[in-house]
Amino acid sequence: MRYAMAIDTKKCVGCGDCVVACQTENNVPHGYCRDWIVENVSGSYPNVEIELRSERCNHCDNAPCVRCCPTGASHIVEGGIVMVTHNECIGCGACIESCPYDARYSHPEGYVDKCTFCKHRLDKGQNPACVEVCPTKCLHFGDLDDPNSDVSKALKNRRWKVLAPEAGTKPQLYFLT
Amino acid sequence: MHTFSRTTNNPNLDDLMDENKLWVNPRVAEIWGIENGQKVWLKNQDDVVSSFPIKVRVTERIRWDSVYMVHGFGHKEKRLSRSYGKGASDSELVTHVMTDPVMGGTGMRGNFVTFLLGNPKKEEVES
Repeated sequence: MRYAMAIDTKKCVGCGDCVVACQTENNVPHGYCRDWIVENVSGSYPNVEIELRSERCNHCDNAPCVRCCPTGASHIVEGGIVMVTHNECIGCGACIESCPYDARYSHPEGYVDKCTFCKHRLDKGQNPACVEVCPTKCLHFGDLDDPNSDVSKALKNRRWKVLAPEAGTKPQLYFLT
Repeated sequence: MHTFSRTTNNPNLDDLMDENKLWVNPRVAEIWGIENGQKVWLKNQDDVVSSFPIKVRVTERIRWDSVYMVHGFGHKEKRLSRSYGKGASDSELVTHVMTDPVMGGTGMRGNFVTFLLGNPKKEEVES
């Protein structure tokens, strides 16, 4: 079992629905977010290339945030999801500094918070909130070990890349190009 | 992001995008000496000036003979506490409306705008 997400950069329009869905689903405090949109523009008009990406925690196999956590609040659960136990977190912020994707934020209540792939929804057999609401269906989620899952099929048929491969974190967010 | 020009006061969506920006091609920005994030006012061919300034976003995503802004900003109603006075309204610059004589459809794209780099209201007070 290995949960992963594939984001189709050709289909994403950068509407921000995933961001609002996540904030609503996970009660993210106002002004913070667990996922966000990145826009890369290269070239000059009329030969412009635009890449829009919906980014979030990469749930790395070799997660620096888990290694540097002094209390063990950051841990990896079944399916490779990196989770934070809120009442064990002392809010030291070492994980925020160690993350090459800047995926974590300091919650005003004194702990560190991040994307959980909506684990409470996965347990009920549902997809994460961001995947569920995407109007262009550009987010593919599923189990990498299952060849028939949405994400496996997407990765089989398309070229893809990961972010910051040089960091050696083995990220599990794939961007279809 | 925003829908039907009505959602700019929604807290979640305001958080994502609290004002609209005027997309300007870098080549045009260089000629005018406009920097990214600079506030400008817009004036159309009938000398109608936008009520509020709008920040410039210099980007290659727009062609050099056009500017672009998201519709639905520049609200004048003060009770819209989050969106009042943020960004500019494109609809107030639409003064020239052409009507199709056959079926009555309206064409509102016959308007042209230019930049005003200084505050037009300030100039009036000084003179």
